Amino acid sequence: MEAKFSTPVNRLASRVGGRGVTKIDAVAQASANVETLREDNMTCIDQNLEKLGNLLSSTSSYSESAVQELYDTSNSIFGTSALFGLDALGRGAYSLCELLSQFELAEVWNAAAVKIHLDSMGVLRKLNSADDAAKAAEIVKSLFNLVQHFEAKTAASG
Amino acid sequence: MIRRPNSQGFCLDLATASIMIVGDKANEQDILAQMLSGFGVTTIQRRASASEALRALLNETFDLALIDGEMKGNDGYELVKDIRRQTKESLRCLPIIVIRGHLKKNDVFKARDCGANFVVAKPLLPQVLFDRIVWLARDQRRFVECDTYVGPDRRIKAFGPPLGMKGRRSDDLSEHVGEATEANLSQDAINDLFG
Repeated sequence: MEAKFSTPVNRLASRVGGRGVTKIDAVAQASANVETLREDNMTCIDQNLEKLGNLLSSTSSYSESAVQELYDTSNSIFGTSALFGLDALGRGAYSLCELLSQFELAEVWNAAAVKIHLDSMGVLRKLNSADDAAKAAEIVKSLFNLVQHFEAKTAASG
Repeated sequence: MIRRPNSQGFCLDLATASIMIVGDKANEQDILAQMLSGFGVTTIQRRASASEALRALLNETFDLALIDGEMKGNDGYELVKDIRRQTKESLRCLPIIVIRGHLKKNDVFKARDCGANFVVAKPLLPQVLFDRIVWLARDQRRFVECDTYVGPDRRIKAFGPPLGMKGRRSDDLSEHVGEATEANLSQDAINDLFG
């Protein structure tokens, strides 16, 4: 089949322009609306942190399903943390996702590396003031270094 | 360098728009619904699975779909592909934003090839969603259909973001040059340029 090109009607095109809500107003209202969900989402984040701990305790060797569940849970934390001011926790969760996706590729398991992430994420959950930003950034950097180290080690071992 | 207005200058009128949110995480659906509501959207439908979403999309016309790429079993990306295979043009060409969190190396191609208008990374902040919807509304990419891909032309770097949007290539000269502001050069003047 040869590639066929067409120009369909863009149904959104008529909705942008001079009418409607400005970006400043829209973003302010959307942010205020999202803020009403803070409590539920904080609970959800804490439950997911606890779930990660339980999953780690029950995993002693590589298991595709266990790694996937850890990954999904961590990814869920990553998806919402920054919306509620927990940027560093989100980056820690991203680092754990990166580590777990490497486990999946290499079919390996390293409980210590996961535990370091979970302990650090527990700390990052509590570091949410501007004064803590430098400390939080340092922790996140260490986690990313750990993942890079793991990646290099896995690549070297073929 | 051409100075273009940024997206701050655009207004969105989504009061009568119909938008579908598809994802299997209720809290993330709530967040998206609240953002859209803040943008003035009143008709928001939510579906928790790809099959439910496709059924609804076949029965009604939507202006935009926000699809979580990470639903169980990569259903999000598959749903986009299914939509792009439909015969009804209004559904096949539906503007789609896929939202994804961490992307595994194996899934990079799935995200690129599914046929979504945009794949946007989490955390999805309200300003990012607003920008993407404005971008989508001003998107003039052609729609491509071939054996291996159906969706908007992916060669976006050839022309950069739409006029007025921020982005890596937003300072590129525009293809929309507009009317000439001075008289054309005469043939003699052109000949002089080449010595």
